[in-house]
Amino acid sequence: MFYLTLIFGPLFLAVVVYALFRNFEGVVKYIALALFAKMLAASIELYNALPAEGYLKLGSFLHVEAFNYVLTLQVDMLSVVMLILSSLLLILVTLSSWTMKNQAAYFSLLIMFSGAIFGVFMSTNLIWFFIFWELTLVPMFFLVGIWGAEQRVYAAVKFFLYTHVASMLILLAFYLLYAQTGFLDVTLIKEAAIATPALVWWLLFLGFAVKLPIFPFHTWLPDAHVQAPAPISVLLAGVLLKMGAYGMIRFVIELMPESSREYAIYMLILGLITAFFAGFLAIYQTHIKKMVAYSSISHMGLVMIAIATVSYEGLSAALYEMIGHAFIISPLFLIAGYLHHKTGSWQMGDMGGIVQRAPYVSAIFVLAGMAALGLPGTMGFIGEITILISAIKVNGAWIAVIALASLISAGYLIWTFRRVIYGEMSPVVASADFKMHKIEFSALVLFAGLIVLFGLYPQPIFDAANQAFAHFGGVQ
Amino acid sequence: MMEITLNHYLILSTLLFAIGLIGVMRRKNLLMLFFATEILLNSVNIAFAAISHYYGDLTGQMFAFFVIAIAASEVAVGLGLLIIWFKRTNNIDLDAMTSMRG
Amino acid sequence: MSLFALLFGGALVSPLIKNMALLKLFALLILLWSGYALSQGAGVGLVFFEQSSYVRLFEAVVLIVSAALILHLDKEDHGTITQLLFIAAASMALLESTTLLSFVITFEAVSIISFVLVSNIKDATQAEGAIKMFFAGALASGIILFGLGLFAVSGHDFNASALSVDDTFGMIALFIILIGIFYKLTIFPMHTWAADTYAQVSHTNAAILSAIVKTVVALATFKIFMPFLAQLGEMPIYLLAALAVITMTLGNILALYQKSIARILAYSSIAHAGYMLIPFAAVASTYAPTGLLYIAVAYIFMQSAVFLVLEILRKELEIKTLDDLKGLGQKNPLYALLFTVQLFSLAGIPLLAGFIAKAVAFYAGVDAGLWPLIMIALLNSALSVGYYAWIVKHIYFDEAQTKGVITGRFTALLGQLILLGGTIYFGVIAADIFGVLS
Repeated sequence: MFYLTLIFGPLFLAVVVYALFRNFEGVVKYIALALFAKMLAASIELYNALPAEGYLKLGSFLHVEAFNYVLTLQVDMLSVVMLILSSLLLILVTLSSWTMKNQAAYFSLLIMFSGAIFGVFMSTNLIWFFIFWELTLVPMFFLVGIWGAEQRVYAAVKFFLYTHVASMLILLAFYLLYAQTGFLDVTLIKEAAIATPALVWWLLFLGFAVKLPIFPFHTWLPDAHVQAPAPISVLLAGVLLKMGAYGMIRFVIELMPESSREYAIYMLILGLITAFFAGFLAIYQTHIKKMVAYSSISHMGLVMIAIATVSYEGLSAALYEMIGHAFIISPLFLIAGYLHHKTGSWQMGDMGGIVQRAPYVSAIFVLAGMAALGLPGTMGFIGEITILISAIKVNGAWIAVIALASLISAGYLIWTFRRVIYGEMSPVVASADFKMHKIEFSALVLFAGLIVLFGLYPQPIFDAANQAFAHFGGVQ
Repeated sequence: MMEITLNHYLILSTLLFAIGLIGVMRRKNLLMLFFATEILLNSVNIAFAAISHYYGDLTGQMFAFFVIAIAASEVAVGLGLLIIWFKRTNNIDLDAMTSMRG
Repeated sequence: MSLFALLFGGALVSPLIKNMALLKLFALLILLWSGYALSQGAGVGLVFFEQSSYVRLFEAVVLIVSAALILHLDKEDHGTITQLLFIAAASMALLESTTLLSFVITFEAVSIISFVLVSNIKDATQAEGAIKMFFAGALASGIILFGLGLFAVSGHDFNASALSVDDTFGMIALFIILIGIFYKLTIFPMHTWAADTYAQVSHTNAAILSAIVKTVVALATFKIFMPFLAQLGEMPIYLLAALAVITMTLGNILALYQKSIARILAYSSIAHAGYMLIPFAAVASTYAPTGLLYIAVAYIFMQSAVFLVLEILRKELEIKTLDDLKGLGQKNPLYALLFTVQLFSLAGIPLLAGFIAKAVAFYAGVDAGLWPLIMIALLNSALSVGYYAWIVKHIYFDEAQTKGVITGRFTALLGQLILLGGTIYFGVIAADIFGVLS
């Protein structure tokens, strides 16, 4: 029952908080922070309570026998890792939104999002999974549409429509699965182990590929990322894209390993195109946030390549890279938003010499950038190297070309450092005031700490990955 | 002399129905539209009465009575509407209804 | 006490009460009493009428929505209460009818009362909408009766149990009857009157027509014709599926191009008629009756709610087009939220009744093997998010224009909360609706 309140509690709380504290805006962020901390604590409790293998049942609610329509809450290591990641990011997002305007509505929406995201990672009934999956769109739609930049309405509507269409493919695939197996629960469908038609695989793959996002379905993301306020970009990259990867692993790989291996080559090709195409586009950007957005997509392409190996090692590497991506891209987005806020410009050409005015922020930007291009000692290095190794094992040595993707990101990131952080101080930078709120800065420091911590000490994540994927049948 | 069968009645009814249908589709004058709907309903009455007679089932006649009642109440409501429309616009032409298109 | 007698008697007595507040109280008491009688197992209680658990739930929903509607009414809507009680009485009879005869008679009764309802006109535009609806309805009556005659000829009998659709003649007769009924359900190509009428008559009347009358007709039709539909071969089923697809696509695409909110809602109503036709085509599935019941229950709440909010907005702020909506979220957060939630429910956003209703109804289609139809329906549902989200965009994302604040009467708000409660309750808890058939 407690875990049910973790999902529905925030949904109610969002309405109550908004109704009560609309005129006392300052209080709301503390409520949000307390709630997210509680959620993090609950997720860590789950982590400790997990059995060595398989699922931990948390209860099932709202039974409707006729439609197998039961809100079943179960978690395994994969979902617990996602829960910890999401609640941690929600805390960091709250910290970095400390000075956001119109706070009551903003944090109410964040609270609502937190309930929906816990529902996504905790429910194993397909229909309820889908319900929460769709529900995450609503707060995101408003967060992008109200607090975004100049083109926010276009970006919000495009984001909503794109991902909604993708969701429809997923729903149809769930329908077909149910019609074929007679079960709506992931674990039961997996036990039934009935051969699924290719159509179901393709529908699910395409549905999750849009969320991931994979070329050519990625076009919603640069718009949404660029127009969203910086903390929401973090949420998009850190949580929403991870939902796509989670769905890809849970429903495509775990449920249909045979078909996945059969079509692995398509996943691999699309992953490669994404990694390179987005990397090249990042080179051409002069808009700082767009550069970060394409870099984010390029990294998700690497995750796709790792998933496409359909092997334990590949999936572990994918999980590691998913977490790494969340911690690495987030400070880049936050700093890009911060620079825009201070200089009033998005163009990297207008910036330059930031390091002289804001040395600490610049240091974190450089650290996160170095992590993104795979500097040893950071999360980026281990993520990329494990992906490379697992991909070579499955696909042969030619796949080492993905190291070139790293090289491309080295190109645009180092060039960005030159243009933005170092170099001549531009007049815009000289006249700007680079003061940053302490709490927002602390969020950046925490991100930097996490990047280095798990870069030097990756073992907990790989232990978790081993436990998460050990009970995946049919994966090599 | 030729014997009159159920089919003759049905053909008559169908013809009247077709006349009514075409009237509803093609007429522009609202009063004419009214007549057309009346023809439509009464053509069905003929069919009901005939079917009922030839199959020896009284339900059909019952139906016919109900249809007459329905037609009467429809006329009452419809004419009321028409009068309101006429008072407002001084016009009973269908083409005048153009305040919304599309 | 018979449900029908109660509502009918109430409707007959109601014109005697001149004071509006008293009249509203009286009507609410009648509805409450009917609800109590319903919970005690009362039905229409006449020959040819029979209550089943399938319709009992929907009768309760109709009573609740009628009560919410009455709470919204104003002084000038004096006649509407009487007609609403008449419609409720006739709806109960229509839902419970078991023979073709009683079905056709009560169907006509509902039609004629709805003609009377739209005759409460204030200006020429409303009269125009009413006349369009009247002629469509009269034509539909003629077609239904003609089809019935043909049906009787093919079965040599008027008794529904003797009728069959085995031969082509019977099937054609069935389709002629359905075409007549589809006029009321606004299925393509019989939809042309609906967009104008729903947008032109007063929004309260549009709520009654597009929410209560439409769902009642859909449910009663399904109940009566299910045995015949189940005998249909592949081709007729594909024809029904094609009608469903065309109706929903047309409704959704035309809704995208509208500026007036009422017209968007009118076309969205047409699109929903397309969704309601899916269980008809998927009659082979055991989920079809549940799917239709669910979509009817969800739709009656959300559609009446959006039109009633729109009526409040029009009355107090003169809001008619999308541009008028700008900044509603800042100035009137409560009504903006009510409107938004119901619009999201119409769009099929989860945890609201609209989503789970569509989910069940669409699953019936997959279960019956019509997955391409469901594919199109799902994409349509995604398309419809376009215009619902566009309305929401005007409410929340655009700069506020100088607009007053809605004072809003307490009773209207109470009515809205009842409808909101229905939308959320049936969105989370599905057991009631699935329990009806098990």
